Amino acid sequence: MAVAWSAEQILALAPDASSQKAARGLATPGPWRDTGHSADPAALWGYCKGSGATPYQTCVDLAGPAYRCSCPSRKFPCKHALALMLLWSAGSLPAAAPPEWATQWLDARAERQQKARATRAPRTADPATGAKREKSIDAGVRELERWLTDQVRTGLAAISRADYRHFDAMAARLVDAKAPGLAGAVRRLASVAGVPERLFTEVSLLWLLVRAYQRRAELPSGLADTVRSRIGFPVATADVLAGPRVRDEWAVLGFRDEIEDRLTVRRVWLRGRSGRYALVLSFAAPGQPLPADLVPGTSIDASLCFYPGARPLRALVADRHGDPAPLAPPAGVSVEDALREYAAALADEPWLDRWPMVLGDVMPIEHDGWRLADPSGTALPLAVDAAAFWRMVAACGGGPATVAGEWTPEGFRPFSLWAEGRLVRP
Amino acid sequence: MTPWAALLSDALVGTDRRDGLDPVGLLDRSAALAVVRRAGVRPVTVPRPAPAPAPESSPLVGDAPAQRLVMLLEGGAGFEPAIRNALVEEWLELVRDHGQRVPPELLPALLDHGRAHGPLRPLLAVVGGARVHWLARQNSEWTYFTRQIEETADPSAWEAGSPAQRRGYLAGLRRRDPAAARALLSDEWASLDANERADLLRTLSIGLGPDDEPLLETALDDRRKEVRTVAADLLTVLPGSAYWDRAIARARQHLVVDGPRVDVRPPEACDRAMRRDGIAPRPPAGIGERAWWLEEVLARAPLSTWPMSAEALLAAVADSVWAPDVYHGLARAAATHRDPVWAAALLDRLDDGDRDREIAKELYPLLPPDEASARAMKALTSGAVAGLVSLLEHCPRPWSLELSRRSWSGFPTSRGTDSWATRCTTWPGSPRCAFR
Repeated sequence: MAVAWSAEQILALAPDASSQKAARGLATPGPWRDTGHSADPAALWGYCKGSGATPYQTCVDLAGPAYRCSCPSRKFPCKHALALMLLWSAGSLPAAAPPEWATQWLDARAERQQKARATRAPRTADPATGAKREKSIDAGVRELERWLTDQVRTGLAAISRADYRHFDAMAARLVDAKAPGLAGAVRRLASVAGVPERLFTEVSLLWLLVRAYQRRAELPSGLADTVRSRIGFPVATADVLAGPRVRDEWAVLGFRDEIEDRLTVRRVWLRGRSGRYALVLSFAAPGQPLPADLVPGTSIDASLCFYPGARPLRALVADRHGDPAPLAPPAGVSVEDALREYAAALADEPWLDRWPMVLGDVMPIEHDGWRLADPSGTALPLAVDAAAFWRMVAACGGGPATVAGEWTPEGFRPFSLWAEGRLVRP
Repeated sequence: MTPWAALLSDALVGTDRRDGLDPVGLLDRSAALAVVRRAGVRPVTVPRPAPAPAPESSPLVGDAPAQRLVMLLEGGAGFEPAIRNALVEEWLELVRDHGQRVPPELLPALLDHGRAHGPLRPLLAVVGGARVHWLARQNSEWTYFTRQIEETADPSAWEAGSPAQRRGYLAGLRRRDPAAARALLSDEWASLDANERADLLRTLSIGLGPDDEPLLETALDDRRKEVRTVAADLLTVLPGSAYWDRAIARARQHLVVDGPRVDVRPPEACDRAMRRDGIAPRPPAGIGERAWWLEEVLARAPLSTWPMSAEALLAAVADSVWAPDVYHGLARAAATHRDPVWAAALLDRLDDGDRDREIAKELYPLLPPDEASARAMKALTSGAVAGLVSLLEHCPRPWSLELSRRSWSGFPTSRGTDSWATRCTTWPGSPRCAFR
């Protein structure tokens, strides 16, 4: 029997915050009956009372994990499945043999998976498709170049007052041109349009990308890869996995979930003993679960494959060589050193707008806004809400902490804090 | 103007309105500068206080209990606020009983919670460790917490402090040196305003003794009702006082014991002497004047007034039309004097009315835990549901395993029973489970 997952791990599977809340509310035995769990197959099940007369049948296949629930919710996993897992996590489900209705679904699922494995054929890249894509993207980039010069010609003051449709129209054309990376960048301009300085910076950096693409033949190969991936050329997972493997003891520093381009994006940040950072990205449609197999506060002995680029950061976990081990508080650096590291990274990869930092011996301070200050008083602005700031203050209690987070144009976004030897999520 | 500011200005206005300016050239320059600016961003310098972590002595609660609290604080959907508050309170009590401490990152949520829910505060002050007192001073939203009474030995709190700080000082002094505290209070008595008189007089409950009687007797003649009530309540629990003798004599006048017979003669009026001794002349809504005076008179007399056992006395008045009022008065006396024998006998007699239930609530905690559970088990078997729910609600926590099982299986889940179902020790959502 696998060790029951922690509540945090389970809640990380939730498609959104309201599902987490609803699941916590349902994770009491009140609405449940005939619950149970079994080790083989690794599954949970139960009936949950809903608003109607018939209780919902909820079943979780822990191997996937996969979920089935007779409720009408379109969220996935639904609050019932999450609540059932929370009950399991709290040791509240009795061991039993799965009932008929659960077995049926579990068996059907196992069969489908077997079939899928058997029929999965390796995809091969078609050179003709590649050439066509390149042509289409060339046209898209030229169009963006014109659009950007037009914005500067007529004045950014005008578009800073425009609404998101102004950007969406251009973004849609870039999607058609098979340049989803550029499309996303244009769409994100809308969110900074109200701050002229930020808008101008982002427009300039987008221009830099356009120029870099046009002169890609002159770029070093790493930087050319970066440019291609920023524009939205697809990189096949198989190609990444075929690349060199970097084995290390990777500390899972923390993660952030954000909604981007109608997808939930989970960014898990890792750091190896070598000091090298890695970013494991996963995507899910709204309501779909995200993987929660990299648990903050643990470290894994694993081999990673990095996506090509001038400053390779994004990676895939190719192989795990052991179970996760608890992580001692990682070593941190001063604010100045962290900024220097960022500057060096920008020299390689000018579009980096989130960079991992592990700051050592820092304290959250309220001084003309919320700051994170190191012993010399050198401080970065914190991009957090009030609840998170006060949790950090409480966890530190006037003492220093090690804080891991992302440095972004908005400020420092912490995702893990170690104080008094404990890991706290702000 | 910096080169960047110049470019920004041109870009905002538009190159069309800046004669001869090439947008491509502008963007080429700004693209380079944008990266440079981002790479060259300077941190600010702020005054950082020297790290001063307050030392803590107690260990932190484990992950499972901590997770349970998060569930209670965030999982609003499952609980009505009153139940949630009760469970959070129970959780804090458990932490206190285990000599543990709340993980600091949960303190902000608890401090927010404590603003609207007073009973959490004294618990939080203990299980929050030194950290919670430190933290409450950092955020103006939580000043309510720092303002609450903290017993202090600092005399400046008395000289120049807020009313709460003065009370804190007096309470601390009273604990160390009751006579000195009384002298301090007596000296200033005449110059205190009415609110402070009532507030400070209450500290005499710490180490109450015969020497406090003169001051309390003076306070019985106070202009303010609140002050008189505090004085009467304290004198009610001061054995051997003149007040005590008056209360016994008065009670015997209205409940006349004659051998095995007991005659109930409720007061005809509420005279001056009765009012001075704290008997409220006006009954609450729904109670007759004489019934109320009878209850009040009996409530203020010690149980040693009665020369017979609780069982015998209650049996002797059972046929009187005033029987319920006698029960109410004696039950309040039993609650005041914390007498388990009288409490048990009275619980057998109390009915299921609102007032009975209100009074019974004070008596259940006096029963030995086994006795309370035994009563609940009996009620579960006999199936008197309305009374049962109230009994279960008043059953001291934690429920015994047997009682939890019996009541859990005895009731199907339904909204109405949620409130007491959550007290079951076998209920996996109970804070108690996480501490096992």
